[in-house]
Amino acid sequence: MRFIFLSLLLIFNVYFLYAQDDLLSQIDQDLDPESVEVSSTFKGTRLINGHSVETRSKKNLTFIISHRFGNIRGGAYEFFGMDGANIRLGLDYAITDKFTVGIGRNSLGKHLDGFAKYRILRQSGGEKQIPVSLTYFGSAAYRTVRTEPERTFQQNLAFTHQLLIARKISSAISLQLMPVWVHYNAVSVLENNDVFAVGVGGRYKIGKRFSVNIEYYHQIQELNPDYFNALALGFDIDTGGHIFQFHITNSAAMIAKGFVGETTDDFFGGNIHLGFNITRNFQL
Amino acid sequence: MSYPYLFKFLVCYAKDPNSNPRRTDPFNGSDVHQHCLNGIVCQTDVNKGTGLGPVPFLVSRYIRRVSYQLADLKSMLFVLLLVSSVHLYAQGPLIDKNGTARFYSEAPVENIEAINDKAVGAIDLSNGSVAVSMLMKDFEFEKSLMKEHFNENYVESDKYPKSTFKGKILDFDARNFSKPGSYVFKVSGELTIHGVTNPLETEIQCQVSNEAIAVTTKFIVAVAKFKIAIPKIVFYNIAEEVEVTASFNFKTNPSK
Repeated sequence: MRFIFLSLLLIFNVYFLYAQDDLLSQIDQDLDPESVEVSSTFKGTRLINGHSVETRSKKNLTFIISHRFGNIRGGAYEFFGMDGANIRLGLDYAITDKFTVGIGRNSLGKHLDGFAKYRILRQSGGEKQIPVSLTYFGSAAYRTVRTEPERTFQQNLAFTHQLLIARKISSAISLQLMPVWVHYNAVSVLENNDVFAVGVGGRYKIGKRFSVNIEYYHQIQELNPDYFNALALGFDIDTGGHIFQFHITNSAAMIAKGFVGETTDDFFGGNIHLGFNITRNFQL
Repeated sequence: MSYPYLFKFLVCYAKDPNSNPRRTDPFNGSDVHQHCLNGIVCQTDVNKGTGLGPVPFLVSRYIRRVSYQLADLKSMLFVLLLVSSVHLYAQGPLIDKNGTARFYSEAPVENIEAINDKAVGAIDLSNGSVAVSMLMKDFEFEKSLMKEHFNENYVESDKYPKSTFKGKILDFDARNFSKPGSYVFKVSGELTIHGVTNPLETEIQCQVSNEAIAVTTKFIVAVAKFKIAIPKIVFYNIAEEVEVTASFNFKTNPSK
C-alpha cells in the first residue's frame, strides 16, 4: 500500500514539475528579484531651492546653472525682475553611486559654497523592504562680499546639516521631509546663531517628462523674526541630457544658508522671484 | 547485475565516481577487516583507500540490510520508477539564467548600446518551444542617466517590468540537437515589450556540442510598434529601429 502511494507520489511529482505546457510561465517565476530598488524618486538632484534625495551615479559630472531674478513687483520697468538676476554656477561630481560632492559660486553675497551628499538608504520593495530613501547633506558657505567693518574668515562661514527623507509613493507622487540645521558663525546681536527648520516637499509627475514640484521650509528657531519661511513652486522638464526646472519662490538665495534662514521676502505679500535651474550631465 | 549489487554500486559511485565496487566491495567481507577508530567500529578496505573508505560499522550494516530488501520485485519496480523519473527529468526544458540580450540604437548624434546579462532563456527539446524573459531594469548603459531615462521615459519599467518572447522552432526535429554541429532554425513567436505584443519571426543559430547548446539570434525592433514614444525634442537622438541580439548557452550536461 505504502509502495503504491509512494509510486503515485513519484509519478505525479514528475508530472506536476514538467507538464506545464507554457515554457514562459515556468521561467518567468525565476525572474522576480528579491529586492527592487526604487529609482527616480525625483528627476533632479535639486527639488527646487534645496536638494532632493537623488544622487547621480559614479563619475557623473553635473553642471548646474541657476538663476533667481529680482522681485517680480519691479514690474515692466525692472522687466519683472529680470534686470536684477543673481546666479549660481555649480559643479557636482559623483565620486561613487552614493557619494557626491559639489562646489558653487553665488552672485548673492558673493558666496562660495561646497557640499557633500551621501545616500544612506535607498527605498526598496520586494523581499527586502526599505520604506524610504535617506540622504545626508552637509555644506559650508563662505561669504566673500566686502563689508565695513571687515569680517574675519570665521565670521563669514555658515554650515548646514540636513537629512533628506523621501518616499516615492507612486510613479507619479514623491514626498520629501527635510529637517535642517543651519549654523551661522557670526550674527547680529538679536539674531540666533542656529536655525532649525523642517522642510516638506514633493513632486507630482504629469506625463513622463514633466513634473510639478513644491518645497517649503518652516523655521522652528529663526535667525531673525522679521524674515520669512521659504516657499517655492515649480516644474521640471526632463529632455534627456538636460533638466529644466522653472519656479517661483520668495527666496533670492540658492544655498541652504540663504533660503532657510535669510529669506527676506514674503511670498504671500507678492514678493516673488522667477527662477530656473538648468542641469547638464556628463558621464566622465 | 543483481539489484543488491546495483544498489551497492550506486552507493559507492555516489561516494567516489572513480571507485570500482567489485574490488573495494565492503560487503563481500573478503578484503575487509574491522578495526577500532576513535572508539567507533569501522570497516576499512585493506587493499587501498579507494571506494567507500572507512564506513561506520552500524551504517554499513544498515546499507546491507536495505540492499537485500531491494532484491524483491517491488523494489525492482521502484528502482525502475526512479530511473524513469530521472529520465523524465532529463527531458525537462534547458534553462539559462545568465543569457545576454543587447540592443543597439544607431543615430547621428549618439549611438546607444545596452546590455542585459541576466536574461532567462529556455528551450524545450521535447517539442521545440522556446521562451525568453528579462527585466528591463537589468539593462546596463554606458551612461547611467541613459538607464534612468530608458526606464522612466521610454519603456516605463515600473508599469511593464519585463520583456518576454515565446515561440516555437519551425520544422523542429529533436535529432538536430543530439549531434554536434552548427545549425540555423527559423523561430516564430510573440515578442512583448512595454506591454505590447507583436509577432516576431527570426532565425536562431545553434552551436551544438557535447556539453552545451549555444543559441544566438539577431533581429530588428521597430520602437513605434511597441508604443514607445520618442519625443521630437530629445538631446539623445534615438533610432526608430533598434537592433537586438541575444545569446544563450544551454548546458546539456550539467555535471560538467
